[in-house]
Amino acid sequence: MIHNRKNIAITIVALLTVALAAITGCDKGYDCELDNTSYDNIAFYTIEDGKEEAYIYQSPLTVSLMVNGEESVMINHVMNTDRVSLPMSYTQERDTVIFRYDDGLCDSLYIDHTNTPYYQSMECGTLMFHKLEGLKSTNVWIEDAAIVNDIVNFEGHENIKIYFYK
Amino acid sequence: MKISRYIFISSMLLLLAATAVAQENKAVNTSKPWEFKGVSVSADLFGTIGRIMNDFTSYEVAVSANFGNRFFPVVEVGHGSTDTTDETTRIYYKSGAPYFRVGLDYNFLYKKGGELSNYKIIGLVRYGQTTAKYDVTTPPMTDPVWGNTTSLTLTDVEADCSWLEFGVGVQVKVWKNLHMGWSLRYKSRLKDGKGDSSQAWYIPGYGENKSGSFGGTYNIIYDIPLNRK
Repeated sequence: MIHNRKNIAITIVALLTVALAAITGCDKGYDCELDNTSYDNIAFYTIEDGKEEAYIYQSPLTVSLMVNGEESVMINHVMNTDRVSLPMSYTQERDTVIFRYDDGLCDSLYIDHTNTPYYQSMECGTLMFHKLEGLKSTNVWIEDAAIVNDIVNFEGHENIKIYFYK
Repeated sequence: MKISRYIFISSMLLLLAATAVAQENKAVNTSKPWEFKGVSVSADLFGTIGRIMNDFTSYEVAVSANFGNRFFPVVEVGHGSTDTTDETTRIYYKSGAPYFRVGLDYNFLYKKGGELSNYKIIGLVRYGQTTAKYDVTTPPMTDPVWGNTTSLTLTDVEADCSWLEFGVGVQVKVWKNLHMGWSLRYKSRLKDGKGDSSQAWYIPGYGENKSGSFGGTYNIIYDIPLNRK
């Protein structure tokens, strides 16, 4: 008799546990991205005595993209910055980034990339990922530039390093 | 969620009925734990009407062996499909594939004889697997900066998926060798079949491709008579 009660008690506890989980614990769903554009993250560095150091660009800096033949400002007169994040074209294979310095000079950064639409889910829709294929720059204040992570997605990795002249 | 609650309430009512019978019935099952007692076949009715509640339809049958009215090794096979367009995102998705699950049912009322042997309160565990192919067509995406549009069309993308299920169930004898029963299952995804350009939205046998979700079955079960002399 005691054994019967024990079995039934175990059963009730098991059912209640599962039911409680069903009622209180919602399905683990998707975390949709707020927009479907991923950004390439460009970080600033300088070389000091042969050693790489993070570089904070203190003067006003304006960063633009060449959009359909015209310069389109993405970041206007930002100060004390050590990185910028920029959208990439869904269809073009080369983006041109223009860095305008406060001394009136500018540098251009040419980013070659492929574009991959990514279907996430019915609810979240489609995202756009990119793969960096190549990089070139002018050398007014930019000494060099390098790809450090060629996948541009929503994980926020540093994709490009720009080395400024000190 | 409403379905889960409905299953739970039904299970509890059946549990109460079983408990009431238990108090009047002192008969005991004397079978040994691994004594083979027969084979059952069953069909899930819940999946066939799934289209009414969501975008998925499945047809599923199962075979289980009875050992001592206590352990029930189970093989479940089925075919799940979907063919739908999301009203908000206008994404079209089509998929259909067979799936299987293997696992074990454990009858908590295995000791009960007499009238109560017509009831089973079950704890269950399953491992499920499928290789699904799916098609996706998305509406044009507009580049917010450049203004160009692009779209995505994928055909016959393959996704290998696997998962585990844990749950409880109730079975009641209806007539002679015929039983009916519920099961409520928590499903935990092991492998999501994520690809380079997409991930499966629907996994046949599992449901929507989330890391965890609840599901249920409503089974008609038939015990195949053993011709023992």
